[in-house]
Amino acid sequence: MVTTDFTSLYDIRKAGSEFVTAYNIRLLETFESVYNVKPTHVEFVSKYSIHLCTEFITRYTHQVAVDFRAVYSILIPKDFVTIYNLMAKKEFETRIDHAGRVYKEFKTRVKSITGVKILFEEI
Amino acid sequence: MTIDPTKLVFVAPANATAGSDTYGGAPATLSEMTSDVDENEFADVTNEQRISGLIDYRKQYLYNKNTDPWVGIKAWISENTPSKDDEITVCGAGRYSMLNTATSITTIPATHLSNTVIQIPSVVPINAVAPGEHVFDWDNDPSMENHREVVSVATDGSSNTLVTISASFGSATGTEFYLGITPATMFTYAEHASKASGIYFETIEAGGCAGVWKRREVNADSSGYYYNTLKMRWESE
Repeated sequence: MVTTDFTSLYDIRKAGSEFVTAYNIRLLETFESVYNVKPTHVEFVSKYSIHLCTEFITRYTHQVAVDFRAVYSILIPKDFVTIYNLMAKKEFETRIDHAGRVYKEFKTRVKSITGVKILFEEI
Repeated sequence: MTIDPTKLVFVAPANATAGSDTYGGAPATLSEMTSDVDENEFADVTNEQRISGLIDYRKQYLYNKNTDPWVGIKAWISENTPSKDDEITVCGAGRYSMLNTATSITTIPATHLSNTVIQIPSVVPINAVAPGEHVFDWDNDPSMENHREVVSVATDGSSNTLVTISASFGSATGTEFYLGITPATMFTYAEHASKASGIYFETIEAGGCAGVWKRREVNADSSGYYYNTLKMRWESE
């Protein structure tokens, strides 16, 4: 028996506030510290919170390309993509922490994340 | 007969300009495609396309660079896309078919052996047409009213190709005609999600090719999905 495979790979790109608001600086910081990774390319829409923009720019402007003009998109390492895809499937639950803040927590444990609680704060 | 899997390579069609009416055609054996690389076949779905929905097509060949024929092959989708908002279906692809243009095998006339079996003389390479494509009588049915699905493709003892179609064209047995192939948008696509239901190719000759068409449908207002994948497997018995 002889076998060969071909895998097609592509993105269904999403720009806009849903992706933006589900993301926040805390998530990125968590991933950075655990995996020692950083986004490779960050762009923002103008309606993005100026405060958060400032945080992103302060943090990344020396490392990655930043473009205020474009529709938001983020090209990121695969760990981030896994998270993003779970978000797209809406497979997370709403939780409230001890300080009363609302978070989104994944129902499914992300295989590559062990010992780290990943939270998505609603902005 | 020995088949080295590293000499089974995937290649694009001669006209690889996506969206062109004549996209498709014969294999471009120098245009090798690399598996598992971003936008190696389908382009990324843009944000606008995600919102509006999208249907597009790709044609791909498996090129046998071995010095022996590869026989008894099934091709199927072993893993469809993980995104819930798009689906890819497939059908076989012969070397003539194009996206949105009808064409014909004009090298030599074909013959009706019976109501549903058409013989293409051996001067035309096998896999000129493939299961799932639709064919018609180019001479007597130019409007393609009586186009028929190709059910199977085989060879006889003299290397002629025998094409079995789903129903008769209505032409008399024994008559000669040029075999037409409808645009790929008219073909019969299915998920072919297992080897048992895979697209069957009797032979891919040494230096020859067999192909598949892939139809991607992205639902309107779908969620985004990064690193969406489709895995197709080709396997001999």
